[in-house]
Amino acid sequence: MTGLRAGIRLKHSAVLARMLLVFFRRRVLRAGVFKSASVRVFSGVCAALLLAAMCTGSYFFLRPLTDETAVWDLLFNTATASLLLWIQIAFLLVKVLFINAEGMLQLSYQLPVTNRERSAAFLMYEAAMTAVVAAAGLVSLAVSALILLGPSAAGYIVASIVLPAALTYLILSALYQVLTRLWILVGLSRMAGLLNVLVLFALLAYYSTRMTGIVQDISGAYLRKETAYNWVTSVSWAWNTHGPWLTTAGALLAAALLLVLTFALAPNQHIRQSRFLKLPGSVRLRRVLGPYDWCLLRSAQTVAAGAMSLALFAYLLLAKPSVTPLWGLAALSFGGLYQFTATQQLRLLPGAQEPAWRVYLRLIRAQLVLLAVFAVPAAALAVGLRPEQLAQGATALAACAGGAVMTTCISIVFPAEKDNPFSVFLGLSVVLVTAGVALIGLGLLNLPPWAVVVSLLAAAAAFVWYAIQGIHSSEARRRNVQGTVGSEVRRRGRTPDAGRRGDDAARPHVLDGH
Amino acid sequence: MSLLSVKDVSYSYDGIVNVLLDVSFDVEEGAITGLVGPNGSGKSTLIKNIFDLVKLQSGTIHIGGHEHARPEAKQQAIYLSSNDYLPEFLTAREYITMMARLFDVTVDHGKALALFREFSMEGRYDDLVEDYSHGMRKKTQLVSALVVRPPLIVIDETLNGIDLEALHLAEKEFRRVREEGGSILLCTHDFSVLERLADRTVFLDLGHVVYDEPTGDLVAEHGSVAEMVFDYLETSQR
Repeated sequence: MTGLRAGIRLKHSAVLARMLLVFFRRRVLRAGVFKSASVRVFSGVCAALLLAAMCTGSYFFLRPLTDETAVWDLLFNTATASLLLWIQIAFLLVKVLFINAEGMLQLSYQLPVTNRERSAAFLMYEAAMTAVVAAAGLVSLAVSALILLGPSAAGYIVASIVLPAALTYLILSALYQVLTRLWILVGLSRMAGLLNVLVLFALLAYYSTRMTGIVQDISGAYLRKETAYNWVTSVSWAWNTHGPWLTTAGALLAAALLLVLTFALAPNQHIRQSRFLKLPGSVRLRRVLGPYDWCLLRSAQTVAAGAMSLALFAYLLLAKPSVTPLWGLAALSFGGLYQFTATQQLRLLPGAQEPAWRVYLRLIRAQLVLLAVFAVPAAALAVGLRPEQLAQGATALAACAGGAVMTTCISIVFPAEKDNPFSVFLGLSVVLVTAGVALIGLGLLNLPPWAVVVSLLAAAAAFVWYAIQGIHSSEARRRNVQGTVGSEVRRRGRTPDAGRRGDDAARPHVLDGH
Repeated sequence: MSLLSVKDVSYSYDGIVNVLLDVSFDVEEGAITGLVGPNGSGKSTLIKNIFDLVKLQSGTIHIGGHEHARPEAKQQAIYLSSNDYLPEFLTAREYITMMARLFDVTVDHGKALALFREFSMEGRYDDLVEDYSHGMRKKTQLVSALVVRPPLIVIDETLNGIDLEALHLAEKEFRRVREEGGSILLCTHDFSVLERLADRTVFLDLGHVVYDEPTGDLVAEHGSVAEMVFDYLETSQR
């Protein structure tokens, strides 16, 4: 069997990778509004039409430039620069998905696969996801190039898309394992996933700030009719300098080495990740804080949000004198995105039933406590160093509180059920698009400041009202109160009584046929 | 011939307290071996070691003559965990098909459907596992093991949570597995099941093997498996 001597049966890894893809298709892509088949079909048709439109537009745009080799070089080099960003985003998304899906990982432990086969399966799955993202971003350019340039476009596609994508992905995979080993060495193994995601996020943020400069360098070289070397387009440069065969061989060798490195560095056993962390000194606050507060304050997501906030605060403090660093605390509200789902167990306790508004108050209080924990020392530092930004700081803190209201609402309306963070991402996207459109509208209307404040307060009130309604509906569904969402009731109705007991409803299902 | 061989296995999570200490026992071909012990006795850690879910620290484990972490060993044994984790996004048919592929056997859906019917789950074979109750998931785990039928089935308290009718049926199927030459390592707190099924019982306490004897001998000596366990736990030997 393939790879048996090396301890890896690729067929087994492929079967497991296929299961992971089914998980993505059925669980992740059916979150929220995508539960509806008609919405999925509509979205699929829209995506296909968009893709066709992009390919057609790209074809007609590029047709007059068919003979301009320098333009094709420019296009594919800039495509490589954006490809690297997309691959980082895809890699990060897949890692975030699995950090929050411990149960999903545990499924694989019952299967007859070795740890290396499991690692290989995850590598295959992530590679497939990354390939889809890369293909979605660059398919229009690749299709147009193939139609207009014929087989000679293959060189561009391989040198500027396929090889850079594969190498970037493998570098990220190896880096992820190096980081994991590092966290294990310093005794932070149970936070390794979270810390890795933070590092990858920092890397992504850094690259995105550099990307404009990289694209400008590539464009500048084109305008000056020069062949300038840029590290992002190394493969393409090698392709033109050393020829396709040598470059392909070199890239494949590098890919093989990275693959071996990734497998060699992968921990032999799964490292269980902490969901909650007992913070030092927190026991003293036992009398002041309640379970809802602890759920947020001890959550690993909150730790990640806190780390991001501190990094942003430090960046704004040191590098942006015109902006109050208190805006950095806005990242804290991200910790609230999982709060409603994480506190579900508290509402299931006997005697824990209480009105929806009280549950909401508990949720929002936790967010405000978190904000206060960071805001008090941060505000003291910011005002001490930049007293002239006092008013701006107050606005920033008010906005952070508004962010808490918003994320609490998202956590309720788009709960991260069954370890699926994509429902949260979906909710976040919907809110950001709505907020963006609303802000553009406010800008266009050019309202006076008091009217803007009133509008924002009204929006916050709407978020609060919608969140309380969401809690009410969620609790009503859980307690099977009639009159909740029809599709949910019908769907759940199948489990207790699937209508397969024959004609006698009183007949116990277990006796059916016996 | 022993299908599972555990020799001198010790394990510690923190390097201070030994959860397992020089544990040795065998599961013979065509035999059902019971594994009992109070909470914290090391049963789950032992099973994790057998399936390479934690790194073996000392001793050796062989399954079907192969070192336990090897792919060949993985083909020999199926693990039914104590929880009801199943891929909720698959149907039972898809789950069993996947298991059959992983074990390199041809799946007999007719047999699976018959078992579903016998386990009172008729008509649910093509439903998503998501819609199954806790008991149904446990029974699906059992059905997958009975359909795939590798040489060794390791059952970690999977029988907890299934109804009496299903338990009776499961016992019948386990006897059939034994008659066909298969082996079962049955970890359970249900001593009466062990008395009815297990050819041999291994009693683990605080990481040590206290007894590893034929179940009949233990019952003859102590009156019952329950008496054997409770007598020991109340003595100063512990």
